[in-house]
Amino acid sequence: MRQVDVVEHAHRPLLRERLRASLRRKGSDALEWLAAGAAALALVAVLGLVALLTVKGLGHFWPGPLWALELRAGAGAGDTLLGHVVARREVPVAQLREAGRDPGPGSAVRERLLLRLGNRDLGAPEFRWVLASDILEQHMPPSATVLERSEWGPLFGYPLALRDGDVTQVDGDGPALRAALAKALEATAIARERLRALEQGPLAAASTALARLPANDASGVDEVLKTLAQLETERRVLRAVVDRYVLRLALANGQRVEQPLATVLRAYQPNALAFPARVGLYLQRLWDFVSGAPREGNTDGGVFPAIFGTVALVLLTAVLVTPLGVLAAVYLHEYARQGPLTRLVRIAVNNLAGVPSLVFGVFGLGFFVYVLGGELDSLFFADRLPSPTFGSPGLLWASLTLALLTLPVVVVATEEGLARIPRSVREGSLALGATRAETLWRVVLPMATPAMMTGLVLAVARAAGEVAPLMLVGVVKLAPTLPVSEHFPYLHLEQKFMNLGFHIYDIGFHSPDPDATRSLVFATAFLLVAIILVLNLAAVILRHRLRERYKSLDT
Amino acid sequence: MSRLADSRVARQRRWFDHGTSFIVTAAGAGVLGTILLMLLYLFWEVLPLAQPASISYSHSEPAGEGPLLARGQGPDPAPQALLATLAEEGLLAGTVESSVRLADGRAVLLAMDDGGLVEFGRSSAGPGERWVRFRRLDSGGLPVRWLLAEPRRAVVYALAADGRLQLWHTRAERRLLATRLPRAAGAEAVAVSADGTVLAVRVGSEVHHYRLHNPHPEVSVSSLWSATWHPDYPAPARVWQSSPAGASDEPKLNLAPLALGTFKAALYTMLLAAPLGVLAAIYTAYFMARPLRRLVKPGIELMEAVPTVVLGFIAGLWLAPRVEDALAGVLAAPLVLVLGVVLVGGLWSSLPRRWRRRVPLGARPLLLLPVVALLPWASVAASPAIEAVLFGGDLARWLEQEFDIVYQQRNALVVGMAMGFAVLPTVFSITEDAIFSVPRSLSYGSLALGATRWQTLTGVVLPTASPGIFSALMIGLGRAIGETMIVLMATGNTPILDGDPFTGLRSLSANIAMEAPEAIVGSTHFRVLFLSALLLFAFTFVINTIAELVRQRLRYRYAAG
Repeated sequence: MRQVDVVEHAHRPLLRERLRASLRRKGSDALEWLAAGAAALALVAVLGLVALLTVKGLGHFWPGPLWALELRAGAGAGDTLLGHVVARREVPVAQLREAGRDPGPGSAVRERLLLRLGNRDLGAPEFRWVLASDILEQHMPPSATVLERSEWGPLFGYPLALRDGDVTQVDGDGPALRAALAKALEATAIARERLRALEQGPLAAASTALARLPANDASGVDEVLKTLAQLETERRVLRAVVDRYVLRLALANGQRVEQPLATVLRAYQPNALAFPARVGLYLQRLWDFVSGAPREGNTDGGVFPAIFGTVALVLLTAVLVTPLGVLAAVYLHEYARQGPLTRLVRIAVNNLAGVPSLVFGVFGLGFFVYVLGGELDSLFFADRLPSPTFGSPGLLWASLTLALLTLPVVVVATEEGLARIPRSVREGSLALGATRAETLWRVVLPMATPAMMTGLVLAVARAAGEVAPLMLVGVVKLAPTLPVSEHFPYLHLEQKFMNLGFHIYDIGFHSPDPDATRSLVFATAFLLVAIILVLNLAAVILRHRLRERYKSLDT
Repeated sequence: MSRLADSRVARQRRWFDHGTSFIVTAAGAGVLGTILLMLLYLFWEVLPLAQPASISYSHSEPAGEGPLLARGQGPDPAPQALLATLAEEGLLAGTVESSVRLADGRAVLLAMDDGGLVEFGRSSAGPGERWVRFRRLDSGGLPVRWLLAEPRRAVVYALAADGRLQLWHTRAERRLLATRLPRAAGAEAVAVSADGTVLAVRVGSEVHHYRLHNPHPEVSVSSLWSATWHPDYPAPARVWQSSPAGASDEPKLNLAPLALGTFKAALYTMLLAAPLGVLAAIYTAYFMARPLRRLVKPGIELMEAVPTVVLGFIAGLWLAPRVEDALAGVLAAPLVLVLGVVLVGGLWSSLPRRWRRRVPLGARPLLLLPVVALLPWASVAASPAIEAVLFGGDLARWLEQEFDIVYQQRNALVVGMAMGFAVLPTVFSITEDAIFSVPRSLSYGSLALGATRWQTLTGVVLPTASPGIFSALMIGLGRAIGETMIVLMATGNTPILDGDPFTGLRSLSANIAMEAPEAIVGSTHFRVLFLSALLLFAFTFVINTIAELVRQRLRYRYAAG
């Protein structure tokens, strides 16, 4: 009896202990799951972001179908619509009631479609929300045509006839009209291109020549005037060709319009396209975006000047930052005695990496632009004052600012590379009688090249994505010309420039119609992120190769 | 011959060696010098704000028939009716020696017989015209004979009969100058030019002119940070309004709303980034299988490379409207996630061992990927239902009715989410490094003594890595405070003073980005923007230095161990 008691006594705390231990295990297990969840969530965020950008960004160029919608009477003006479906969203019934719409009986939410109707110049709004329940009938008419225009955005309609001057060339929709339209578009495009070349080339040159001639040089003036008259005739001929063709179309609501082909860049029937043709058109549109200039206050067209500005800025930054960054790293790792001073420099470099990028912009604006630039102007460009040359934000100051900003990246990466070079290599070189400088230039630096490249690529990637400081030191919404030209000094460091990152900010937040530009912003953002991710991947690969190389050295 | 050549080569080599050494050292010093230059330059631009005013005698001329100064401001005393009203309401204590109208008559300054300068102003609180005492400036017993005010700035000139002069900026409550004007004793008339650069005093048949240098009178510690009265405001306020609404208004440059906006954005950012980053780092460094870690770590760090302008654009144009549509779902998502993950974990643990073995212990995040992707989506999808059941259909309206909170589409919550994901990789990466570099021997020892993995983590690994985690959080905070584009794009940029998650904000950095390109070089506005840049610089400098020192000590500790 007594023994049993003892056993029970011993047993009871054991049970409680076991229970507690099990609870503790469960708790720590739950926490471990939570930590795993956090890691998964971070991954999902990264993947989701990349996926969102890719889908939305690349989707922008996809020639989607044109829907012809028949709306219930009373659903709003214009009962027949033709357009792209841009977005679908669920909307609570309560919100509809509040807006004065009668949603009718049924479930708590209704589907709404955002339609892009185009035809911005013809009065009606370009974008319109339509309730799915208001749609009586929908189909994809094969003859529905998209005209991409250089002004007023796209036009959606049904082609009826092609007019050549006053003569109607082809009447009635069909393959004949499409063939004629393609031919006419090509002729117009060629003439337009030649016209542009003429106006910007010889014609502009002749006008400047005339303006520069001294007033008393009568024969010279005569000659230039003769050339001008000739060029002017040529221009008139080309202009006539450009303005020759007019396309007659019927809009969705039956209205007839005449669209001169002069402003039409491309015409296609998205509903009639076969898959390979669709892919071809997609690639063409993608190429137009990458290689074209922006139109319509940056809300349409391509981003080539922004890409060019970014590349020029980044290359200049790289040229400026590399020597200083590499030498500073060499100082820290090879030359300086490790002590309070090197510690101070290291802390300074690390701090530089943590200083908000905007502070660099403020410093750049104040010190580079106003102090240095103002000084340069008064020394070398005094004849142009008070209009500033270097005393206003520009490419040079922006790249100097970014060079400061990216300095720590280069220093840290190079130092890491230097640290990986085995001591024995340096000692071997010194033992053979080489000086410190010779060891550095012939042995150490060549071995550290991949590390320097890594740092450089990372710096370039950082510079390409930076926007805030640029807003102070030289980026503009629309630069009239690229910062390069065939005139001396070829690269115009004082000019303002466009930038991909700023382009995103500008068209995303300062465009009159956010609906119209949203997918364009996504495309630009995708382009920027793609460039930067590729650069970062390149850095990772370089670093990996570096490690592989010294693995063999260590053994 | 060969010896000669040798010595020439040797000399060349020596010079090359010295030259390289010089260049390299110069580059090292250059980096340090650059930082110092930045700091000094910013200081140099800010310093004039603290400079007192100065006045110097310029010239005298015989008094003519015309006004004292062609384009100047003479004495402009307060209307007697107003003084009578003030006395009636018992606001006046003592006798008024002299008075002047300020801010187009919306405020008056009275010099009292006890030497105090008292400002009264119009308040918009309540119906009708109400006057309240704005502030009292202590002139130290100056018997004021003349009071003058500049038309465009709240700068007041108090001149005593014996020629003693005091310059005050009323709103900044700052005494700019106290001096005795030469030849000004017994002044009979005074005037000041409209731009505040010339003061004229008539004594007898002569007019004395004095040159004033007083470029930044309106800045003081109190005007930058404390609540001050402005005419036609209901109460003292901290206001940032760099381009004033009315012609007679001065720019209001109070940094408090901007600083608060900065901290508000950083707070909501860290609320997301700190737990998520640290937990994810703990798992990746301590629990995760090595091959998987080699993929996951650079994957998350890749996020650091995504330009913030892209994150800001997605936050402002894509996320903000969606959060507004499904507010309840978004707010519920963290809870749903925590409960869901724990539940899935519990279910998984109760599965037969046979199945569980299929997924190695360190690959749980892969298992959870679909879970954490679906749960927030489900939470958002259920949002209309939640709002319909709990909040009468619309959470935003419910908040407005119940708590008087006006929901703005671009708000601190959206900023926190976007910037949280921008800061997350920073926190994650540094924390992960800190945990991963804790020597294996420490955790092996703990495990060998019978501790569980979790006990080893909380008892041994985390305490050892804590300085690294601390510095990760500090550096993350520094990034959140300095970040510009996300705040610029994901908020309405209204400089308001509250900590509410559903209203917008304006941060110091976004404010600089918006206003610096337009600010006139050398103006007070320009210099205050530089001051805010300097504050950002100093703040991140301190934070980063602390983080770096802590990290260096950590490294030293491992090296010693």
